[in-house]
Amino acid sequence: MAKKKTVKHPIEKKSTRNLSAGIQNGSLSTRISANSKSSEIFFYLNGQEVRPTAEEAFMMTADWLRKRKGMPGTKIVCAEGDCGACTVLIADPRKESLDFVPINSCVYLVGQLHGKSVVTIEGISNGSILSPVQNAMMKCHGSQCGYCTPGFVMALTGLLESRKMDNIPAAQKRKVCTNYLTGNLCRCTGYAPILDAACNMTDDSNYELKHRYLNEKIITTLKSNIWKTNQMGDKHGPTWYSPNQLEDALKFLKNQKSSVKILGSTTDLGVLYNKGKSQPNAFLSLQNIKALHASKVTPKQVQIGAQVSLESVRGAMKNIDSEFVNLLNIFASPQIKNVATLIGNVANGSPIGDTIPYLLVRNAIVYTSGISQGKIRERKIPLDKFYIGYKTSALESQELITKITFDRPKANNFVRHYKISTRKDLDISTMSMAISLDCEFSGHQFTIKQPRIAIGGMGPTAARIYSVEQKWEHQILTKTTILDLTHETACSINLELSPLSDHRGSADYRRALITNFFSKFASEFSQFLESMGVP
Amino acid sequence: MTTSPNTKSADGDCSELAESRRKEAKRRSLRPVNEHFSSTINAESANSKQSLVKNSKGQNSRQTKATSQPHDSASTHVSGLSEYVDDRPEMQNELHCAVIYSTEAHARILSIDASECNTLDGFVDIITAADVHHNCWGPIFKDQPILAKDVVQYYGEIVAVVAAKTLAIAKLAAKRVKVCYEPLDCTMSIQEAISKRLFIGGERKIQRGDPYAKGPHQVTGKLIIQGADHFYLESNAVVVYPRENRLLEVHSSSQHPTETQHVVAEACGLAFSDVICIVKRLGGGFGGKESQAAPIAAYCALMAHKTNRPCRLILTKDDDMIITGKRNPFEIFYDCTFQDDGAIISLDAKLYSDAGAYADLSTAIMERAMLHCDNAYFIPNIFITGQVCKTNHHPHTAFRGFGGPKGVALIELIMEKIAIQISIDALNVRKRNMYRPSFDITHYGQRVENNMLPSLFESLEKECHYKARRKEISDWNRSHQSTIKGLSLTAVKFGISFTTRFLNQGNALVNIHRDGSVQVSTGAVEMGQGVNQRIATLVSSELGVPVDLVRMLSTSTERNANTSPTAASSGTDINGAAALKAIGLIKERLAKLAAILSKTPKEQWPSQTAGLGTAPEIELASPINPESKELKNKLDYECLFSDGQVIVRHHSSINTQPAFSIKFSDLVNEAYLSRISVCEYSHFKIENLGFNKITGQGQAFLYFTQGVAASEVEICRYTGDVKVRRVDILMDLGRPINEALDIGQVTGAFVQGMGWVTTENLVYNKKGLLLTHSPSTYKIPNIQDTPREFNVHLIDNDGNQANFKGTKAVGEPPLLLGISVWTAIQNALSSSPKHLQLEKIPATNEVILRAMHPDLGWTI
Repeated sequence: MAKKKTVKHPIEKKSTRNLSAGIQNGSLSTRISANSKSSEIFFYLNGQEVRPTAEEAFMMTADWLRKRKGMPGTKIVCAEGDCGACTVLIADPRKESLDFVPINSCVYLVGQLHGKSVVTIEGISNGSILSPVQNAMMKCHGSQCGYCTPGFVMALTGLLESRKMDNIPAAQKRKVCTNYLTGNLCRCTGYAPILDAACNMTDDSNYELKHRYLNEKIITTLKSNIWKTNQMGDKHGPTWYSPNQLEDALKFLKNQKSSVKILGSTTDLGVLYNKGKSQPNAFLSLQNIKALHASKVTPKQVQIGAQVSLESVRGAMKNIDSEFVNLLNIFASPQIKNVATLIGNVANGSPIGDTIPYLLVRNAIVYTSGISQGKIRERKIPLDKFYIGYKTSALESQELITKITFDRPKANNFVRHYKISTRKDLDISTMSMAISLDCEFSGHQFTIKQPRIAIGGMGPTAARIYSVEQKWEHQILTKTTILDLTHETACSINLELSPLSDHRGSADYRRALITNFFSKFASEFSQFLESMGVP
Repeated sequence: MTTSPNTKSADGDCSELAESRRKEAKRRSLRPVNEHFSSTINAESANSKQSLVKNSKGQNSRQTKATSQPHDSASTHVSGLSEYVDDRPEMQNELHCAVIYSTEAHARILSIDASECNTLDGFVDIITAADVHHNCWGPIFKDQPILAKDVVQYYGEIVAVVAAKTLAIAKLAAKRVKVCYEPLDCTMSIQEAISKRLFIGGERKIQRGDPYAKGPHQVTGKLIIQGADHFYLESNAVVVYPRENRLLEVHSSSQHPTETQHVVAEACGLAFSDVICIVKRLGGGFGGKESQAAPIAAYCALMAHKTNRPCRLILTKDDDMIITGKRNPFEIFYDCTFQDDGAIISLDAKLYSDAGAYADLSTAIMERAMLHCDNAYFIPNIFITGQVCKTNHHPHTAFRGFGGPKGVALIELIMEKIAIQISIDALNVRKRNMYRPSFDITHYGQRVENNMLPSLFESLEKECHYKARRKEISDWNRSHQSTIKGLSLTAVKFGISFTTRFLNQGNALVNIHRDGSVQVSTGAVEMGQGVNQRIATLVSSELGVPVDLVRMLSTSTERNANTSPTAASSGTDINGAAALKAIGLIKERLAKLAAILSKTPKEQWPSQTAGLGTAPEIELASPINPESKELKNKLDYECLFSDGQVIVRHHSSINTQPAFSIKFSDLVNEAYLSRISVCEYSHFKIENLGFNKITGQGQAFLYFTQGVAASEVEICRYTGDVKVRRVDILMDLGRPINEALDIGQVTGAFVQGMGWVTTENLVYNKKGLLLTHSPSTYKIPNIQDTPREFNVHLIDNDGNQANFKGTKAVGEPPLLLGISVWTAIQNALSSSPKHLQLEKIPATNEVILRAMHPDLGWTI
């Protein structure tokens, strides 16, 4: 296989040997799981222990609930994690805090539930007595046709569990609720009654899911199983492998012949899977590898492991990089952010890239691992060298991305991220741009140092615009010169780039946006200069 | 409307009741929606329970008092226990169906080869056009095959259906079916269809006045209106059980069970009586399941009929969006003249709509568009023509508002353009032209009765602080660089009735059981709008029993045949009226029985004697003609149904004896034992409708629902991104049966209309494949898009004589107020010195940015 490879995330592989054969002759488990005891997949569903069959492990959770468990309360509408009708709550002891958080069960494999506690709409009320959320939704007329309602009830229950609504002024409640419900679509109510319900939920500790579904015994059982290898499947069906050591994962990748999908989360794979665009024979889940869950903030850098969710990144970046937090606020829904990983976004390598332009201006470095001559070989690839074409990257076929590092903003760093999409929230961008300037301040003069500009949605990959960066380097800025500089840049850049027309916008629109983003940047930068007393 | 013997007494104390009702109405009118909801919350369950206690005093019980009770399915909705079609448990021998659809816009089918399916373990059968008994259907013109035969006319047209033991196998089988096409010349736009003269039906005209009358000023242009997807959350779903002796039981997500029944029967070569169509509820319909649910049910039914096994067909969201039709796209050429003060003298408008490949409901939609080109405004000289064009898109269909929003968008755009041209506020242009006394005859010759428009405009202008905000916005636009704001106050006057007269009929079956509990079944389909709750409220209040004793049954052609679709906002009007009529007949018999019992010693009551036959059976006098007033006046008693009791007062002894009272359930039992029916079936039709489609004149509608909305938007100058900052709505819904449900319809419809005019963008490729076929690409409003401040008020209007109990329909009209967001965008753009304008729906970010920056060298 060529060095270039498609990096749809998860990554498709061709390999030389069938895993099921390996299991059959008994060699595989001894070979890859020598240092750990393998355990079967198990989790709690509304407080009941469940051990799914191998076949069930490959089903999407929503389908499984509806068709195998006789629990049709969870609805499926889009099967792509965009409408929230399938929202369920999970608590994952791998995370720092053991809270029930909403996820899209239509793009979440049953196998991924290993070691977690799941609560569905069927587990919310107390017998026939409705929960506070259900009561509020009913009394405030938050449901009309009812199809989106279970999803909203679950998201709102997650909101109560998060305690985000505790002790905040009524005026802020609406905003918090709105943000929390971004991942749920309703076509009947116009949302006003749902927001009223959200703002009028009473808090009743009797209904707190943590009390009801996470007692000491359950927590202990879960915690003692999460860092263990899972392995399921037989020669007739697909294979599930979820090792607890990176080395095992890499060996598995190296030895696989049939198509393997690497699961960071399943937010992208799930869509392809549901829509018949991907039918892998083997899944490699990374969730039991403890090292990949780590994130670290040093004085100069941030380091994010492959299993760290966008929501955790958002939490880690608070008070560190507010523009990154802003970006993550309007990127994806809470349901997606709770499971999708930053590395997944990087590995996916979409030309628009969501976080990629921003990571590019923050000098991100991608860390990959592979097995070479029996040893783990690690590579560091700067993000601006990582993408080599439309959805293709420098990642080799038997490598995994283990982590990414990027710079924290320096003092006097001025950064902006702009994104435009058809709808502002929970929509794939038409185009996005990030600009970061480290400024040197002497007297009343600003000099640009290390300008970094990256654009997504204007070519086959999101990319830095080095020609512009060179021009901007060492420029002395005033309110007038920034206008000239950005104007000139917008004109020249539009000659360089050749965007496509698609259903998100025409090439002309994208060109116009570039021009306007630079104007917007100039306007915001002048305000900044003004605040610093620069003429 | 009511036919019970209590009418006389009701007349007697009606002034008192009316007074208390007016007070009640005043109390609840003009209350902000937020306050309304929080008050509901605080009152908790007391709200519903205490009002029943209050009713026990008796005075109010016969009146339909607006309640705010939750939707009858609210508790099961929030618990995930409400059953939709695909929630039905799978039968052991059930088959899963998958569809194979055309991947060409227009092509000859050369071959359909399913040989590769046969090797697939679990594959069961395939059906094609050859398996369809009567392969032709259509809600108006029968022009559409159920399964394409020989030729496909749009991308997404169903060619074949496969069935397998599991859904996964069915999907795999569908992929293995090889269909060969020979592409034919296709027509993908209205312009192309016009130039090729590809039309459906003839050109329609509605006109009035002098074609040569012109004002001194003129605005002209072309308005382009795109379609919109219904985006009901529940995609089309069908489960069919073949029962014994050819009977097919069809569970469909259809807004029109009767049509579904008929299309299924014809497709399978069965009598209509061999098919039962049952609809429990829909996960949203919005018009999209009015006609188009029928052929989808037929695919599944054909398979069930052929294999004699239960079959299930659930479309994925992607397939549903690709296959089914949308709101019709329109192109409208207009020429409007007006006087110096903005008073319109003439309007000439040529409407063209894109029907897609088949007629579906497009001609009726065009008619409603033409009937709504006036909207709230009197236009003395008006010439509207309408032509439906045939293209190779999916057949477009009904969508909340039908043609109305297109006509209304046109005239509201003209209002903005007039305002710009003569430099006055657009609100003044609207008020100058609105229907008002002496200027209240529409262009189709119907008088606008009970016209609330002048007071609606006046109230909302005041309530929303229009003038002050207008000034603030002007200041903002002068002083801010990054965003511009706009404000627009538009109106809606929506005609209520099907314009096709025969659809304005409904029927209802009411069964009262011996314990006093009630079952009601009508032709109305519950799709979230709360029609069941409204009818249950009407019934419970008529019978004086708690609303939870009234169970609304699923909609089934077995109980209610020959029903109309639940559409045109008419669900409660026609079905509620039919239920009331049935209740009236039952009450009449019960009242008579109660009057007899009141004079009969209890030992001789049927419950004491009927089993033994020791007393003669009670016989009621011959039925009273419900329409005959004299007869009612002859009654010498009055009868009240209230709080679970039936109370009889004899006029002769009104001062000497206490009133006779019997428990409702006991009376029902006595009636049964006396062999008196406590069940009834009634048919209802709306009277006095007479719209002549040939002359374009007549009484098209029973009445009008009216409303006004003021929307404020803020647009980013750099990106064209729109935020809806504030919306104030004032609606006239007559006397609502359930105020909370009505307000829910208003907020929901408004936001749906707002989506249509802003972010909902249907993008097709050259073959007519819809590229935006899922929520990741087709953006309906998200919770973040709902107006930051959203005030909904209802006015107090007791004057709607036309409809029962003074109610007004609510389903569609508020959608048309969403247009105020679009005109607010126009208004914001017009604040530029260049008076930038856009004449396109939806005004996406890109469309707005193009309008704002004509300097950026756009290619077209």
